[in-house]
Amino acid sequence: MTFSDFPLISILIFLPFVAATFLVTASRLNIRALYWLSVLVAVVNLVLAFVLLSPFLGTSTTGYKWGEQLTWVKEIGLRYQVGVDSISAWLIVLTAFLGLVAVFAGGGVAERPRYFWAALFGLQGGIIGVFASTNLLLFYVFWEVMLIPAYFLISSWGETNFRVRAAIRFVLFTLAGSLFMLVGILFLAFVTTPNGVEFSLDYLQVQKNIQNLSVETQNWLFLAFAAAFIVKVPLIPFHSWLPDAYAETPAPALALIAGAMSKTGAYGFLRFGIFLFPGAAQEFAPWFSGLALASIIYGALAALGERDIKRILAYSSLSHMGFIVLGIFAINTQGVNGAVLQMINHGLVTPALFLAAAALYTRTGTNRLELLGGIQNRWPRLAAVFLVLGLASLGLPGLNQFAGEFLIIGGAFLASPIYAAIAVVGVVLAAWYIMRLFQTAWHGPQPDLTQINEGATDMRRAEYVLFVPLVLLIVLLGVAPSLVTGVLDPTVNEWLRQTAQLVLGR
Amino acid sequence: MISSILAQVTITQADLDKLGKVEWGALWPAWLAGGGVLIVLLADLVLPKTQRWLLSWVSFVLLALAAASSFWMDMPRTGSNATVFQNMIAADEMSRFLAIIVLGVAALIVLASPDYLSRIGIEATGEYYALVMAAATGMWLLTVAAHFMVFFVALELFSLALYILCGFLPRSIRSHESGFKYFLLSSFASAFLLYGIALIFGATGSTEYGKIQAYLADNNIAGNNGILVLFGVAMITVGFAFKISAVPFHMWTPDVYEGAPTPITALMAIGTKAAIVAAFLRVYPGVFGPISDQWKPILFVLAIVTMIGGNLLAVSQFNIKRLLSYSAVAHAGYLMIGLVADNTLSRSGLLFYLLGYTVMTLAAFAVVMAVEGPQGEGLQISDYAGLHKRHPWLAGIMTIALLSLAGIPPTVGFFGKAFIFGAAIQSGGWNIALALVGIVTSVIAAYYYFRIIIQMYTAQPASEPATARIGRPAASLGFVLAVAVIGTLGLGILANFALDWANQAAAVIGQITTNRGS
Repeated sequence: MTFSDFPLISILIFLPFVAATFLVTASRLNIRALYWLSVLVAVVNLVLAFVLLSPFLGTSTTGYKWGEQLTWVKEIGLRYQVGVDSISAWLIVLTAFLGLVAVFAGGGVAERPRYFWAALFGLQGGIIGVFASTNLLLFYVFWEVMLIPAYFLISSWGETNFRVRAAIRFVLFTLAGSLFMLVGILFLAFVTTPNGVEFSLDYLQVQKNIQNLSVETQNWLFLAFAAAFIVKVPLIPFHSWLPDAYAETPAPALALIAGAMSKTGAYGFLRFGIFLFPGAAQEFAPWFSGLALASIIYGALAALGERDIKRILAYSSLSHMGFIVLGIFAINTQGVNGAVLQMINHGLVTPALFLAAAALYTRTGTNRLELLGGIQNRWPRLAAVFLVLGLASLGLPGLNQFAGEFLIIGGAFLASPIYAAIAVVGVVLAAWYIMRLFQTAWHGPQPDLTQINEGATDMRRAEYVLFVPLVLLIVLLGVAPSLVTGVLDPTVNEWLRQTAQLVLGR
Repeated sequence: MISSILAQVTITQADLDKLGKVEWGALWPAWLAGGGVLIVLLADLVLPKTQRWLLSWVSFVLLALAAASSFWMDMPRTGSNATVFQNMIAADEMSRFLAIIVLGVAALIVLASPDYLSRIGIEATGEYYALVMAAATGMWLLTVAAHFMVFFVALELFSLALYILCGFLPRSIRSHESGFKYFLLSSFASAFLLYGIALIFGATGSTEYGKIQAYLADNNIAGNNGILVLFGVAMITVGFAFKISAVPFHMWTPDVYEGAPTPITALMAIGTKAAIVAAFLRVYPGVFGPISDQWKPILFVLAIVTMIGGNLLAVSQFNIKRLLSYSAVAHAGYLMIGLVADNTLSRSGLLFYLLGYTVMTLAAFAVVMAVEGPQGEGLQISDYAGLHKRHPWLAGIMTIALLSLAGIPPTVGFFGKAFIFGAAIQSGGWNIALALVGIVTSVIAAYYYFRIIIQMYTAQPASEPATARIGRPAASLGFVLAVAVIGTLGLGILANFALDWANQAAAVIGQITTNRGS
């Protein structure tokens, strides 16, 4: 067995599931011991994820690595086929990292903590599976597997009475979208396979077979897939599950849901949208770019109108996901590179912001802006963390989101200058709502803070451990985004070149 | 004088062969299950009251043996040997596949019953087990019928047993209503079915599957006989639609399912449905295969109406048995897609779906049995509030069963749907609409299945629920729960093996031969 034959991806996918099963069944063990065991598993998974990434570092390798395959149900083309290129590898690293953040931050959950960590692990395993699948139906299987732990995280640990409604809305929206993708996948299995050949839903095979379909069929199939992704990202008008779900979900779970799960939608648009249906994607690019721009502006305006910190952050997330989709549908090197970079950046900043908001909540007992103010002198260090994260979120140069947004807007400009012009408005609005959020919460007149936890200290040790690495990573990727893009660039270019050839050939 | 006549009548071995052997060995499941009826009834007379508990074990063992016997008996046969008893019984791989489903389910339901019966306070347990075994015998015979007479007799055998079983609860008006309603409506539907068989006989001159199929292949629906055939198929379809409770023939289902004792509801929802669908899998694509243009549009419409109707009606239910019965209606719609799509994948996919439907529905009903109180309390969905705190394992099993029913991977329900919808897409044309309707209604279905999950995990019980006192389920019921939930997950993860077997089983459809016997 050579190094690259090692079933590393399978371990990455199934280690979290094993941990989840263990946590659910281990009712007799000490809860603190289980917590540290969970953290250990998450650390191991992160280390393995870096091993996964290692072959791509420092080289311009393209194509899939670490491939494994196993026949599963051949009658419908379902095989257990996993493999990663550098795009997937980076996203898996992100997921593993966020899994660690989530489990670590989730130590303080009061209610049924074992199950909470188990759900986090289940979600993490599902997300890694989504990023690693190179078989379309296997991708769908993991896509749906994500749904169940996410549902339980929202419905069982949500913070207000609306949690059940938010959770069920999330499930139904997502399921409705993804079932259309299932029809599309089954259609691909049966229609694209040439006669006499065994059904195959292997990604690379399907990519070739699709070119035999009529343009109209390709367009319909693309839309069936897009239905799943547009709900998951989400873009307006399919976003209405998002504010409620994000406002309900506890911050540790949001690290995975907002940080990693939303990226599966964007990843889907990239891998199963513009790479799989290059022709159709080009045809529909103006529509999706338009929706992305609408999401950017709408999300920013809605964030301006909100008075609840978590909801502001939720709408800001909607706005930022719009940038990512805009970059993908620019269908050029800058745009796609920027989009993947931004997936990672957003995956660091948004969870950090939600966690900081949660840290504030434990001290003040409220998320309402009008009940907050003038508390910076109480907890100056937490305020500093909040400020850095806020500045990263609004795209200050030197912090990570600037690089991603810059690339995306550059890519959008190449697609159409109008896109870039509108997107820039979104950046300005982001500065507005983030600064307003920071100023009202931390500066200004101090309202009657009756609920405030007087005994709360500034940053605790666990919070240092949580926030310092996040802030350092944000600064690091802000100063040196080429750490990521250098690895991504060859892969993205290769995919774009191949798909461009396929379009020319049709 | 007489001796001289006898001397002229010499019976040679060739003549005997022409008559055909009687292959007793091919009916082991029926001997065991049917003979078990008598054994249990006799034992009920002989045994003192304190030892009646033995009856459930005797019937469980006999039914389990009957299911297992399909592996050692004189089957499966292939080609021209595939039918026995003068082409009346099919002894092929599909018969074995369904013996496992139908008899296996009956065995598990028998195992789950004592806990339930003792809680409800039913004394007359001898008849109960005997009738369950009679029903199981009938269901299995229905699936192996290769002749419309066997088909009808088997149908009536299990229907009669079920009429009585539905009304078995001594002091429950609902149960009596259930039995009586089922009796009246089902007899009415059986009459349609019988009339259809008679018309088919009139047109084709036979009630044997193979001969009818051969006639239809030669003559299609030409001439006056063709009109008889069409009427016959229409009548048979009415009976079929009633028996699998397709909308708009589903009206009886919720009432009957709600009133019947829960194990019997499970037997009807699983065993009867599996048997009927399997029997018609031999009839529609097989016997009526040559005239598929005639019946496919009807089943197409029925499937769409059933999927939409069953799922929409389930949304507004508050009683878990009614909800599951509407869900059974909806699943009948998905099953009919398999009949309409009619290609290799649809047939094996349909058998796979039956297997999956069996385990997941059994898991759901087993939880209902475990939660139900002595006076029929604990059947409202609101009674499931906080079940997670009281019985974490029951809540977990129910969740897996419901997710499987909703078709979420990697459970068996997802693969069933993927095969069936895939087959519909593969057959192309308008059948793609079936897959799309199936998809849209699956979202509706997810809503009402998740309602129960919400109750179990997040809702707070308004007051002390009636079922809070119910203790842990008995070991036998626990075994059933374990088998069902392991099946739900295992058949999903190992779907390839189950589908391979279903493929073998489905290969026989429409290949019944007529070159032997009378």
